[in-house]
Amino acid sequence: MTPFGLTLQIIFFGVLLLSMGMIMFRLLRGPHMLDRIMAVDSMALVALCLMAVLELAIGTTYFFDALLVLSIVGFISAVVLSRYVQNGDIIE
Amino acid sequence: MSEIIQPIALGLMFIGLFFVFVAAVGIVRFPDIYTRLHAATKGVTFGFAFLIMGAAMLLQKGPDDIAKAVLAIIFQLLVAPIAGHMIARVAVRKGIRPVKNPQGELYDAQIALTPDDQSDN
Repeated sequence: MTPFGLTLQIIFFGVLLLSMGMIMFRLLRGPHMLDRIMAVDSMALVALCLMAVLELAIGTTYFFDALLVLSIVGFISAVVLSRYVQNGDIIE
Repeated sequence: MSEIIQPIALGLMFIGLFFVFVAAVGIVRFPDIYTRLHAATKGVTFGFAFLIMGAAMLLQKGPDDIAKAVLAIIFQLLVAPIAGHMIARVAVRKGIRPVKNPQGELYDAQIALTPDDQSDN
């Protein structure tokens, strides 16, 4: 139905997974805790891009709701983890 | 109609893919956390916006998908500066030094790449 054939799927999944692997390198190596938080925030966004491409590949529309919710989760995790690094405590 | 929309949507998706990949390269290659935050907030958000919009246009199952995609993009454009600001503020307060000082001279690279406070690493 949608013109999203096997070649396009291989290109999009390959490049997005390669990007995710590179961000995973920063997540494993990052010299400070804040580098890891930043890498997790970026990995959440790349995972959302992967969800959109997967949705095109299998032809459903249900993943956009999950995409909205998971974007909220990624933002909250970045803010809460950076506050935890600053204060050592989340709730003041 | 779909013959007009499909190349535009695929072009948007390829622009988004390019920017996500370039942002990932920047996250790996940049020297300190302040320059890495540029790639992690601006680059990935820009690529995400283009890729989601292209996917919603290419799906062609109705206008509510495009509405949800626009909602996701607006939310991400609102919250990405907040997350970047929080991380950069904590980095300043923790005393992580950038590679160059405000006059543009290099600090000692070994000092700049390792944080002052190693306890929470």
